[in-house]
Amino acid sequence: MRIFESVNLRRSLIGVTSCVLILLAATAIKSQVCTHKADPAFYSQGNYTIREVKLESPIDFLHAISSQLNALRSQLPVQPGKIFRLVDLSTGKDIIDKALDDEEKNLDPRSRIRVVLGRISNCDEAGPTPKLDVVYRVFTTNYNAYLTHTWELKTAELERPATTAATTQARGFLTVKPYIDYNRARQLHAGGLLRLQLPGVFDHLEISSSGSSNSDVETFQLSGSSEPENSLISRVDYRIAYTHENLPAGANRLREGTLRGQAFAATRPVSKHAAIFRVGVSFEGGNQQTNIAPINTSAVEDSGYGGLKTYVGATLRTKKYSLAASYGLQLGTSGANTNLDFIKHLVDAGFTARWIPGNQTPGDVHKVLALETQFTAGLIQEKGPVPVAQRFFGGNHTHNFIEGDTWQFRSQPFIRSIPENRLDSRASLGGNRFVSFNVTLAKAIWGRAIIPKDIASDPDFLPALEASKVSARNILVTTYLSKLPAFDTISAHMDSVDAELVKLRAMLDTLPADFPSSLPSEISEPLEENRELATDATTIIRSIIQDKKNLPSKLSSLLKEANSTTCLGDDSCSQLTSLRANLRTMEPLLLSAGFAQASAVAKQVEESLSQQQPQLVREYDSVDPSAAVRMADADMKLVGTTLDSFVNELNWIAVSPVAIFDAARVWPDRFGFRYAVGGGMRLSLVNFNVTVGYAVNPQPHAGDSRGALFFTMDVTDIFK
Amino acid sequence: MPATGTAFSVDLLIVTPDQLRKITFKLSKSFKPDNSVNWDLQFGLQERKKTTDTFADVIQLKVNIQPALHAKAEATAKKGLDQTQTSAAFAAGDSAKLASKGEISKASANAAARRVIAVRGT
Repeated sequence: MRIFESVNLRRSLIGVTSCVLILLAATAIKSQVCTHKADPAFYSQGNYTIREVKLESPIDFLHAISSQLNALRSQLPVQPGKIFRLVDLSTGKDIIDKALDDEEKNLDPRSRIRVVLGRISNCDEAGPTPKLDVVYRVFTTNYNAYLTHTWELKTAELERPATTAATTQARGFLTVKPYIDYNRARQLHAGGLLRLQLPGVFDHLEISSSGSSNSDVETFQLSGSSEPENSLISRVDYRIAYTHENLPAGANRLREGTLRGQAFAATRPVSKHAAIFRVGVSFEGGNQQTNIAPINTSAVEDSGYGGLKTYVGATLRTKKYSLAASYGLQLGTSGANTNLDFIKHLVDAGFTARWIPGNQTPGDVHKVLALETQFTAGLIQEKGPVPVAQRFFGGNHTHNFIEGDTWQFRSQPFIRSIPENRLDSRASLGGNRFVSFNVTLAKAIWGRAIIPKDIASDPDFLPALEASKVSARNILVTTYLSKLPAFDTISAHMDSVDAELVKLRAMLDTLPADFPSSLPSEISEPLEENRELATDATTIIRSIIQDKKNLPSKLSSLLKEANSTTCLGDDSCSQLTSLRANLRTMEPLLLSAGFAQASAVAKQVEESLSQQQPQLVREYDSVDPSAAVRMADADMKLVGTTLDSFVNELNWIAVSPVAIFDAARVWPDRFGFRYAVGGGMRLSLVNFNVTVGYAVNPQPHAGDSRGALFFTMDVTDIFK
Repeated sequence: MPATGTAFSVDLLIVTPDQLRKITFKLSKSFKPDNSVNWDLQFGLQERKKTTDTFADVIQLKVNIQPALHAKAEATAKKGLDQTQTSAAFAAGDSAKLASKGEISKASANAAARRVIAVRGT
């Protein structure tokens, strides 16, 4: 938790919020109703003039290309002062669509749904010269199949609701991210992160540094990842990093320099609850120093350090709840030797719940009640001297068990009323056991939904979005059919169809390129047309049959139609049925044209296919596709959950009262449990959010303050 | 058909689980100069040999949907592709690929793409 005390910044936030409120109020007053929205042709009769053209997007990610969109404005056929025409509205939508396609060329999402709407608003129907506004709205998202499902993203959604999705899809060659922060232990500190995208095994080089008058932290790392195909493992990350830290710990200091080699893996979602399992390992070596006086305990104030860290963890995510649990084990030495000097055990479990009001008005702020809880405990088994920096200190700063891993796994007690590294009243020594428990409750009371009211209440919008989800699911089901062994038999039987098509193709190749001009046109023209259709159909069907790996996905298209009696009339016949119809048409034409042998082949192939097709359809229908459906549903459940968050949960601006409670202690410590009780407000803006509040220390001891004002601030650079 | 509702497009992109094929399906509703409704279907297919390669365009097809199919196009826009349609879409992808190599006519590839709408059940 970052703590910041700044009156000026608070004043600025109040000012920003006031301006937003005034603008929203002014917009509401200005709006006029279009009485014929369901029949926009009413406005396209040449008597309405365009007053204003707006390009809007509810997702801040698109603000990254707002300059391109604004540049587009001048290219649109709808312009202020021009007569409104529906066809111009459509053309403008197409121009925006193309610009978004160009913008997304460098992204590589696994799935994406995008909706572009063009419509009219704010119609002045009573004036002498009727006017209206043209509004284009864009909704887009994509899902990172790895991050979307994980605990840390859900947590990020809670703390940065407007920016999380955008952050996961931001990509760039070079990212530079400065930041400024404050906590009571490190005081005001500032730094930056430079991330360079690399070719080869390592995807990124990252350098970060931060410093203050009493501390400094520097990190250098090379990291990479891979996504194995056809494996239970969804993703593997690996990393080599060096970290140097020089931090205050009460009256003393902790200095560490550590080199790490790390690997992490996460599974694909398994089970009906879409659980994801994680494992990680980190080999570490380095040194640590303190400036405390030599002490007569098992703690070592200055020493080398080496060790192995490993963990297992799991996450579950449902629409309302997220659950994460981890166990970590660390085997450590206190010098350049192989002696096992200590064993550290850590348990960390978190539970997050979000309750969404059931009767939400489309576009209004989602008044979500969010509960975040975390329980963490640790134990050091001392086999020999233990480096001080490896012991438990605790305070209002979170420490990850394995630095650099996206998996958030606390390794120190966390309590918001006590400065960093000050929970242990002895401060200089640290404890060998700890436990901490944290609760945060927030309820949005004011704001604006990420999907504005105009879009959320548009009769076309939600059905189109739902339709796209259905399409995605059915595409996945069809794809997964190819993984079912039950289709192997029918795929093999398709070889006899292929053999008939070989005969047919040979016959078609014997026909002359141009039929004799002596043939009457009522024979030559349909014959030519059907020959071309049959030739292309043969090529297409043979191509599909020979692609055995993907054949099951296309069997329905090859073999089945809803109604074989009427399908020829509406082009809905299966490909084999259509080909057979071509052959039945060709057979007498060929005979009339004097190609008796070709006619006989056409008849024989048609009859053979007529016999085979019903049997193949029966075999197809006998296959149980439920396994493919289950696999697709597992994927879509996760996509759907995220999409539902956009539609039903997320706000682009929200104000939430926050209540907090923490309890934590380390052993040995004569003061026992310490507490934090407090409250505050969380303001979430598009890509910027703050939580401000006060955590009281109800039982302050010598040297403790009565509590601390906490101020959490996050700015995410999402435009790279 | 009367001009009802807004002009909009719904654009779906999905990468198959083996990460080797990227399918795009886009349904657009727009207006003609006479204010009547026009539906376009765009179907795209990209492929790559390995997951580490970048996707390469196989073909992009844009098909104007016949007036007789408007009801099915509208149903597709509102309810999504059914499984019969997705199978037809995969087959249309193969046809598109063959057309790009010159092995079948563009007319046949267009017919395969139109069929994606035509085979809709209800």
